[in-house]
Amino acid sequence: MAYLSGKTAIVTGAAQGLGQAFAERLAAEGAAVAICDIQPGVMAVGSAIAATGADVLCQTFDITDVSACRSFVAATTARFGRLDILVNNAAVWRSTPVTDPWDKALADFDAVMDVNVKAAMVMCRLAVPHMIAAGGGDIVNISTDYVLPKRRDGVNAPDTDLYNASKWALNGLTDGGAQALAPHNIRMNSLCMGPTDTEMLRALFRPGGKLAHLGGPDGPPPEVIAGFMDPADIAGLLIDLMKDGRTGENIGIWAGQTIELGPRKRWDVRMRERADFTGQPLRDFGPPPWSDAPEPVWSLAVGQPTE
Amino acid sequence: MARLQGQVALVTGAAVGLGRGYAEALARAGCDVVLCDIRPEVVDTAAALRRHGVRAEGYVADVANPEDVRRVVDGVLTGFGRIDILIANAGTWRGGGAKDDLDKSLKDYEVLIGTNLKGVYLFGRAVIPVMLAQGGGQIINIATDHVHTHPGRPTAGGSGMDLYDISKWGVLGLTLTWAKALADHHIRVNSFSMGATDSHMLRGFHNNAPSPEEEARWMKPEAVCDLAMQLIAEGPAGRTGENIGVWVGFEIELKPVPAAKPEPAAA
Ligand SMILES: NC(=O)c1ccc[n+]([C@@H]2O[C@H](COP(=O)([O-])OP(=O)(O)OC[C@H]3O[C@@H](n4cnc5c(N)ncnc54)[C@H](O)[C@@H]3O)[C@@H](O)[C@H]2O)c1
Ligand SMILES: NC(=O)c1ccc[n+]([C@@H]2O[C@H](COP(=O)([O-])OP(=O)(O)OC[C@H]3O[C@@H](n4cnc5c(N)ncnc54)[C@H](O)[C@@H]3O)[C@@H](O)[C@H]2O)c1
Repeated sequence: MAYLSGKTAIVTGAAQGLGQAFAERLAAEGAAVAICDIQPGVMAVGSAIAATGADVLCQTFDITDVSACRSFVAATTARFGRLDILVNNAAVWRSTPVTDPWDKALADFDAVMDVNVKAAMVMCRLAVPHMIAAGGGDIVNISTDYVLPKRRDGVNAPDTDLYNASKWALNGLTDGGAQALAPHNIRMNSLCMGPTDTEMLRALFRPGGKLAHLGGPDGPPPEVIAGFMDPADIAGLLIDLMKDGRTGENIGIWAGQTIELGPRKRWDVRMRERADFTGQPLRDFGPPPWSDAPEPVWSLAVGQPTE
Repeated sequence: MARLQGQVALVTGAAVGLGRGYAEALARAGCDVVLCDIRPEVVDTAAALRRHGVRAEGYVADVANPEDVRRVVDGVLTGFGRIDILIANAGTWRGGGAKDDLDKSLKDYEVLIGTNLKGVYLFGRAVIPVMLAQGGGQIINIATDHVHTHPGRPTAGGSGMDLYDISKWGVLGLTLTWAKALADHHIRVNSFSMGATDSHMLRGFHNNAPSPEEEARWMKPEAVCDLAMQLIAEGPAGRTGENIGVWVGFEIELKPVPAAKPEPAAA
């Protein structure tokens, strides 16, 4: 019997990229999957997964629409009878330099926070009662290595304060949730990955993107793509994480390194790790030593082993 | 020790509690101060600071409301012409957690993320252009020790306040990003991550009847406010991008700026 047969998983933002990879892998492990995205392309992703013989429920809606989230979770549990796994993956990335005009600054706050933080919270709240009823579950929040950097210079790009803040904020969801839900056998972790080959990342290298000077009309050149991680490998780690059973952790996944869970960390070790990093004085951050780029490439550890 | 004459500071959530303490310490150092708060008594709090011989103004304003934020910042510019120091302190607390009903959580989200995170964001975004034009400034964003715990304290806020913690982790993300974005412009951005400090909020938390032992444990607001003054006194060359832990049972002090971590060796 497959590892997840009889289980039900929700993946948000599954029309492409990491969300699609998570959904495909969960289905391959035997789970019934309920997937959603604001892009109608999610329906084709769902059909392709269904063609492999998996049970799939698919809806197109905006994850910031709370009542749509309610109906989606209700439809999922009505159809499959239970809910065991939630992957909060849907997110938006926006360039938000601090010098932006006031009106843009206002619009950006809601646009980024509502998807990246509020919707994740909403989906958790909706999922938890079903997981408690099912006797346990797994919630995985998709964060970024910005909040768990392997290298000092790869973090917190200076022109995306809201994206960064939204992912830091997920620490609170994971920390608090893991503790509150442990007695119910529900685990909550964050996957904190570096550059992964998805549309979100490729778009940055196209004309108008912030890394356009490193790319061309088709996006990043092959040697840059070669440094990206494969979404399928990250999806593999998601399965490892659930099998492992740990909770309350930020799992670091860094380009150029083995994609693995690493040893379990105690609560206090995990907290120290974050604190030690955030205590680092800023002026010791230099530009990435390997970069020939005209400006610092803040978030791209492209293919560079860091240890 | 009036070292800040000619400077203008803006402190949010300054009617009572720690915010009032920061404003008081700044005024004592000769700094002109502008206070804002949703509590109407902020006007009286400000008036009382004039005894230090500084200009002081109080605004009744909700930090989560963009129009209020603009009104305050534009008002400071009209009245004082500059903003050298911003202490984004306004904050609020409510309990709750992963097992809460969604409707309750949506209300809590509005209040907690609105005040604690959006409020910091809005004031930062309104003040940063002013500081850029002036050629420098200092920002202190107030977080909590849940995002920077002291050794031996293993958990964050525990199981019953994920939304509060979300808001404060978000504040840290803003601090780190702004510090990096503004390092070349002589604008320093740091966070305070403190534990239990005697304040209006903390007393309310204990139903305004803390046990004497409990009360004795708390840090004194004066000590925390003095630490903020030390941070400010470092001046334009001081530390930036640091999340400063201020912990019960530990020395309340600015640690020396740690040396750079060695570059990890290439594999
Ligand atoms: N690709 C990377 O390098 C990388 C690195 C670190 C973290 N991440 C994170 O991984 C996750 C997946 O990102 P990705 O790289 O696959 O990006 P992506 O843009 O390819 O996919 C994100 C998906 O979320 C969907 N989405 C966005 N807003 C939505 C909304 N309002 N309602 C419903 N769906 C919505 C999008 O339509 C898209 O299909 C995100 O949380 C992202 O922040 C990605
Ligand atoms: N006291 C502690 O133990 C402690 C510990 C960690 C962090 N903090 C943080 O320190 C800051 C100050 O807290 P405090 O303990 O002095 O609390 P407090 O409640 O005594 O003071 C907070 C002030 O902010 C004001 N305020 C609340 N919401 C506002 C809004 N929307 N707009 C404008 N003003 C608003 C309140 O009216 C009050 O005057 C907060 O950010 C809090 O989260 C306090």
